[in-house]
Amino acid sequence: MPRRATMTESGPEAHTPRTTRPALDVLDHDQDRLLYHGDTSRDPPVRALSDGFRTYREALSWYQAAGIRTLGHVEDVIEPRHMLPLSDIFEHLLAERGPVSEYARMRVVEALNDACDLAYREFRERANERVEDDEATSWKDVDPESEQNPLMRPAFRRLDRAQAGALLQLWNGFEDRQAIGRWARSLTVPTHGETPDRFLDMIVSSPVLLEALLDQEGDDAKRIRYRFAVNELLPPFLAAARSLTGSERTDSSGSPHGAFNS
Amino acid sequence: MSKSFSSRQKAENGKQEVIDQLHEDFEAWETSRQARYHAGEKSWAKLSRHHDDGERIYREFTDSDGNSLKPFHKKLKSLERTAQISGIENAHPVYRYPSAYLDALIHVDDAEMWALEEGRTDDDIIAEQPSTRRKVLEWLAKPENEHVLRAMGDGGTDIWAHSKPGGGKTSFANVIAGIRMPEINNETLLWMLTLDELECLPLAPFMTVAVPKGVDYEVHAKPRNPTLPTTEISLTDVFRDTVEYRNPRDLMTKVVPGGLYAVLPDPQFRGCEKLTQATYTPAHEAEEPAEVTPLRDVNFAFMETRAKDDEFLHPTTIVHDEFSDLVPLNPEADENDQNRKVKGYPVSQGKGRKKNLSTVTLSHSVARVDEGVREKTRWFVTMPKTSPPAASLSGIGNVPINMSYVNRFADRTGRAVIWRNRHYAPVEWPNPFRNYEFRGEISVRYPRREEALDAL
Repeated sequence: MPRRATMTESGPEAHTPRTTRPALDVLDHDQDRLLYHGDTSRDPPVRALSDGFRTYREALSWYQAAGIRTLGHVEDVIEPRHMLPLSDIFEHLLAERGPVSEYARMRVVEALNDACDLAYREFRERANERVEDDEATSWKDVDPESEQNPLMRPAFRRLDRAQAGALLQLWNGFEDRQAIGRWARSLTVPTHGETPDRFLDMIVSSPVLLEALLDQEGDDAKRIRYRFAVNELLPPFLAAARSLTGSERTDSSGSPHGAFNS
Repeated sequence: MSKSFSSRQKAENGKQEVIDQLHEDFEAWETSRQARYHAGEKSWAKLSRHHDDGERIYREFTDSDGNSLKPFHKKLKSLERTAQISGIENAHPVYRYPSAYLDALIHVDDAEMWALEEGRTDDDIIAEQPSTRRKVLEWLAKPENEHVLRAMGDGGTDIWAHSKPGGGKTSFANVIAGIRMPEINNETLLWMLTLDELECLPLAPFMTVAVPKGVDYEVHAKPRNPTLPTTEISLTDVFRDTVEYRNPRDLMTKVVPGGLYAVLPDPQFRGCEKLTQATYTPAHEAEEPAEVTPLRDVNFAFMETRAKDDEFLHPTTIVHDEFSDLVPLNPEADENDQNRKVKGYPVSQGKGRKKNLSTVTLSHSVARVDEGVREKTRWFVTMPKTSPPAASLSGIGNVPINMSYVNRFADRTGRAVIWRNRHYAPVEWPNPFRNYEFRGEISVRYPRREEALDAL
């Protein structure tokens, strides 16, 4: 039975929960947004994959968002290297490339359905308790449309933001070498400490790369930075998304057999 | 000459620094009903529109995430919700077996229970309670939580926490007896102090020190930082205020519902002999050292007056630290009638329980305590790395947990297993000592008692 039955669920009608596990509903909606509806409330916005990307930047931030929302499983369908310009998949992911591309995109979206299901199944086990917050008084009150935390886990949101922020900084380029150093340091959080070995050494030992990172204007530099992000940042970002265990709740009654927090 | 002046100046500055730090750490909470009453503003009845301390204290403490503690009724609701979502069989043991923990923590008397059973939450007896208590009672009245209400016993409770030093007993007592009990029950707390350490310091901004009338005392703050001097301070540099008492019974006429009191023992033991029918010998009256009664023995008299004299009947929790020194195994019939006092303890506890007297007792060992006392105790809290007592120990009855369970759930300080003969639940609590920055000891001395002891 197809879980994601219709594409009109984001309509204004009252939300009816599809499961008694609100975090799963939230995950489901997030995945809908990735594939079909887009998410304009996120910063930067997530473009729906089915609409195709208009800019490299949209492609980059979509991939990063997809990493979190599929617990890293997006990689099973679209590997980071597929996001490089001129790769066979990527060219079809761009908007307004004609009916062939549209068809190819649709196939990718369908393939991603499976990746989403995988994430759903993986998360289902851990989504059996709801996250408490001051406003939502019962699981019925959780509206997946307005829930800001991916998978209702603030830790996911924090990771999502940290990754998006790191990409944004990279996208805009850096003022000086010191700024690059600080940025590289700051990657520890969004990669859960899995930054490639000798990451900074790699940057400073390549004059071309270093120049591209410091050039805040040129389009060529931007392209280099894009390739750099895809090759070097997306893989550790995915690794971090995979390592999210779903147990990082802000506050809840605890798993059934943990200690009751007085 | 100038050097000695400047070093004196330096010492003064250091002392001021210590006092400033204490003022910053322990800024008193002065707007509650209890605070205004002890400040002498108005009569107790006239202050009824002000909030109780219990409605406020929990908010001053933070959990391990750095957020301020949630009110207990929210924690209860979240337990209930989880049970609704995943079924009662998957619910947390605290909710599934309310007799293991909630019964010990939530105090209801028979009249309240009756109103709750009939769902009369609009009755004055429920509706006029402080908000934090009222919401807990309303939660109990919900049909979903009927099994919790049914598990509630009438009257006072007794919780005995045991562990090796550093196991978390003191922080448990601070959080459960000092924060949650006043919040949930508008409980009056009597923390029986030992002089060398003031274990209830985290609660000091909300606390009144009960001082024996006419007794000279000195209070010293000894910072752990060696560059800062030991500084003589006054009790109100740390605690909110003080109240004087002539004897234990007199103190019962001065405490108020929902107040937190740190009780300094009376070295003259006034009124104690009459209450307990046992000998108390102050240091200056003794002829040899063995005759001098330990200060902690005043605790027996406080138990007795609360149980017998009916001066104060509002739910009260008494905290006894170093419990195995107070009621040791095989007490001797010595100059201080230790045997009589120890054997009288469970009697007064039993009497007091019917009058809403609860105890929170802390000790290293359960085995080295008088068996009569063990027999009267219903809840035990076993802290990390501590073996639960053997079921064969007289007065213990059934022990539902073993060491491996403790190791699994009480895997670090701040967690423990609370149990009662059949049921148990793992619980955790935040560290209340993170609430202030002063590092060091604050101690109280009775110079006259020390002189008299030296003379012996």
